[in-house]
Amino acid sequence: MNCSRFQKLIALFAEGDLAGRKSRQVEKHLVTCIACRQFAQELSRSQGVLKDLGSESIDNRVFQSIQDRVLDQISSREKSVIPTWPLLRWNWRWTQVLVFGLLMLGGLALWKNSFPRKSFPDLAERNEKSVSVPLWEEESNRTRSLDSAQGKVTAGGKSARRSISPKGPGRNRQPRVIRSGPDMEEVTPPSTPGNLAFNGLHVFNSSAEIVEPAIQIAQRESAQGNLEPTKDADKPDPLVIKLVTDDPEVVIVWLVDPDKGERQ
Amino acid sequence: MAGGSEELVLTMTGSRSEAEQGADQRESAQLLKKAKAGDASAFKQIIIQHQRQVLMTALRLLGSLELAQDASQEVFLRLYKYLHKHSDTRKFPPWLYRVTVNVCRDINRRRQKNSMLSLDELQHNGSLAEVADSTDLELTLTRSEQRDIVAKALKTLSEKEREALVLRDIQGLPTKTVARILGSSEATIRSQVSTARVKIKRFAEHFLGRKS
Repeated sequence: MNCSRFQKLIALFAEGDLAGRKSRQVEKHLVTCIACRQFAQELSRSQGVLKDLGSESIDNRVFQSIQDRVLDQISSREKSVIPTWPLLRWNWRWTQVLVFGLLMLGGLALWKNSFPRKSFPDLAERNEKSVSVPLWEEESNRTRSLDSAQGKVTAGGKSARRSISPKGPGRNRQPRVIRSGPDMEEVTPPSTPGNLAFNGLHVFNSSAEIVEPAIQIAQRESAQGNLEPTKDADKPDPLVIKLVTDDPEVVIVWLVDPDKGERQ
Repeated sequence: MAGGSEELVLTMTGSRSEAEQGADQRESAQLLKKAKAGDASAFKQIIIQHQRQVLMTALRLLGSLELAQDASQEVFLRLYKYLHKHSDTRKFPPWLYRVTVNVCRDINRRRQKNSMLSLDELQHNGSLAEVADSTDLELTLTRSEQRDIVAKALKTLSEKEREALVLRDIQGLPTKTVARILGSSEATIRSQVSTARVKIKRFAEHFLGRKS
């Protein structure tokens, strides 16, 4: 260890802050090194002056002035604060309650307006107005189970749709999807592998709503002349129900076949 | 026989001082309790008891009596405000030191650049340069002049070094207590104190014309 490193240790040794092995090392070094001995002597001299700073005398008027200033400030604060404090506290407390209550009421009103309760006629009306978009291509990529189904998905996923296609001999034909809205158009989905005929698709959003009964849609569309009656019109169609959740990866397809029961 | 009586006197003195210390501590605890309950005279007594400790610490940390007075005032006002937060189990003086150090830090931050004097600045200071140029200064310098030089030397230290040195060497607190007050480890405090002592020694030596 060189002398410059010893100086730091000497600075601790001089005030008894060094103990054990290091202290003995410094002692040994001081016996042999004249420069470090001189350093230690000078250090103890400066330390003596430094410690004297703590015992420096201060005029009593300085202390008196501090006391007076502190006590004056405390008494003036108490005078100004105490009489008004209960009133302020009362006001503040009731203001908090009032503001909180108003905020709650406002929030409730906003929530009520944003989510009005729907009745059946409202739903039917909304189904009529909604725009239908065929999304089987996109949906078929998401899940293999869709390969067996053909259908359409309505925009927003909130409205219910029923499409009717020919059955029996028509199983090999391209199914037709008929929209039920006023801006009706015929949409033909691409053919899909498998023998399963496209019968219909109901799409829900995750907050499932009431689905318009398929038979009503079929009847209405027949009445509007948009649907050619099929040979097996009297026979109940198998029904494919697709449930689209908020998670795009999760699509539940539910096939209801009146002849064979149901499978999922 | 004489040796035995001397030993007895020393023992008695020692035990009496311990008893006095215990009484002082009990008295301080009582005062604190009363002051917490809103007794103004008890709070005044606390100020009287601790004003020197606070003022001297602030004076050495800030380097100016005027600022130290402001700091002391602020310390006692904070004490009045937060006295209810002081736990009875905690020792009061270290807590007061901590408040003092924090107030001084705030004041130092406010004035920032003006507070720190470099060695160069001090070398350009007329009176100190004259003092440094004269020969055999240690003999001619009065103790108060030497104190002035060391007080100036304190200003050349970093804030951390100054805090550690003031609490350890000027206030005479143990390293462990200093570490607790400054929120540091004992090893860090020892290192800061050691560096500060060497710097002070070199500074004093420089102005006393005794270059090694």
